[in-house]
Amino acid sequence: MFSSRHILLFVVLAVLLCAAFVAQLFLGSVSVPAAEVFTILLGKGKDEILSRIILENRLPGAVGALIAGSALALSGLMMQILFRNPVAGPYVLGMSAGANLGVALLLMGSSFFSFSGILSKFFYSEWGIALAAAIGSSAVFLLVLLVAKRITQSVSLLIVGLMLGSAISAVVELLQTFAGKDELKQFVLWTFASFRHLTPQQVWVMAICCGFGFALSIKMMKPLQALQGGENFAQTVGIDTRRAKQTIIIATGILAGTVTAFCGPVAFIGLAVPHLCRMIFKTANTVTLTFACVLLGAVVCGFCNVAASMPGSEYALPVNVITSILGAPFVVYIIIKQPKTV
Amino acid sequence: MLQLKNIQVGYGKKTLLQNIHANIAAGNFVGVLGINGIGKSTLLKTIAGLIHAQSGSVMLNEKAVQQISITDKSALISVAGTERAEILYMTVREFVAMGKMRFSNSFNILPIEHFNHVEQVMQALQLAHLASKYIGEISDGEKQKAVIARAVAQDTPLMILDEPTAFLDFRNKRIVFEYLASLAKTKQKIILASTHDLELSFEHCSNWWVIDESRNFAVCNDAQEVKEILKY
Repeated sequence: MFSSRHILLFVVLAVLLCAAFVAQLFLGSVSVPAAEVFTILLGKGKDEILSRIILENRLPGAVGALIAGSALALSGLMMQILFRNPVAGPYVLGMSAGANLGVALLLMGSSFFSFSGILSKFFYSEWGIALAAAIGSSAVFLLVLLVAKRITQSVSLLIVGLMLGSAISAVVELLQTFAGKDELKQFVLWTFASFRHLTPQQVWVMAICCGFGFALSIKMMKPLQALQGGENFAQTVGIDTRRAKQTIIIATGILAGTVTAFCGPVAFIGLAVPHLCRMIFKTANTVTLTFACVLLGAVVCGFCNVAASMPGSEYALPVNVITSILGAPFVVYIIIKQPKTV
Repeated sequence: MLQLKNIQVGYGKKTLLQNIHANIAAGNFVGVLGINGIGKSTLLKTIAGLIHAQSGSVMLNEKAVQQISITDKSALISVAGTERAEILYMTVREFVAMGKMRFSNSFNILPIEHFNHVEQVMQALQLAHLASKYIGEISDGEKQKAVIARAVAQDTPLMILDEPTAFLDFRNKRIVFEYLASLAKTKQKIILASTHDLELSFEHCSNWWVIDESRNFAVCNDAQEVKEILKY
């Protein structure tokens, strides 16, 4: 199924994945001796503050960053093939902004609708936020897909995404201006979402939602293989492209939406990692690329999270700072190189 | 049996061809002839069910092509010439194997007998030595043969090829024409191929669809007739 070179690469990625996980546990703004981390992880830690840092702060953050990286990379891969555009990705095409809007409407839209009883329990929980974010992301994807039909140049799509993103942000600003004090507080608290603030509860919800997204992506591996030859082509070899598109919209919405809901916007990982996978694996086989994106996305995101926590200093950066510093030049590189194809 | 029943084809409001009637039995290799822009591609796409006929119907084995599901259609009709073959890092073998998509599992793996057929087709079109090369690295002519091989690998009773020999050198043109003619005969396929290689089509096709400059459609069973219509 895989060539020996690919198997070797997968093994290397798996090792790096473990390294990224361990590094996130052992390195952070607060320096905790490695031996202490070990005893805490074994459940024998004595220092309560350090235990809390490791178990309630770093562990969920570490797991969350790995899931987020995989999810974003996968949604980027699906988008690039569907749009046949090398500069497609969940962040640049406004899906993170869409997730933002979804959550903003949920938390600050009480003048339009409100939930009571059991519904309010669901909608104002992590599940509700994940659902709102996923719907917001999917809606933006659908919109971009409609516009993309009329776009021939790949970079134009980027501009459309940018405009859509700023229009959506403006709507969110509007909602914030007219929101009640409590609602606004709730929303502002939510916008602080980051790997460092992930709670175990949120990680569970994210894992389950993304798990569903992963399952859908696995189902899409075969349609995506054919879609690389274009939509007409995929149809002539027997792929129901309409259904495939619907599934891809839902899958990417869930993946990019839930990640944004709990970790905040994470720039460029979704765009860059699929390209890195193609460069490293040198294949167009969507099965290989799917698994490569899951692994490499997690690795890249994990290490970005470590870098963002700036081990050894007393400061910590939003992970977006790191992914943008690395990712933005990479996007420029891709545009200059303009691979004719994805 | 392929039947065109009074079809009218075109794009949007524009009509290119009308009053098209034809009946083609299995085992025939049809050359579709006419000058550039006259509507050959549109006609072929309509027969393939990729665009709707403006009126009339295309019947394959007594079934309207438009009503066949995508999955069933992929077992009946293969189309070469509408795909883009510029896929980064895709090998020629993987590309040709896409014709067998209806047999592969969700991990893109083909049962061995179908995999072997892919190799066989590449052999017949003299592509075997390129099988492991990336499709972006081979010449336009070789790419075109890969596109044909992909359609042949699909192994359908009706094959539709849009100018399959446009980029080929004289030797490869002959290889392709001979191969298609033998496929039509030995495997009782209907093959429709638009082409500007008139001499080769006179030599290898069993009949011809000719579109003259005033967009009149005619079915010819004799090369002499074709020459008269096209003033060749």
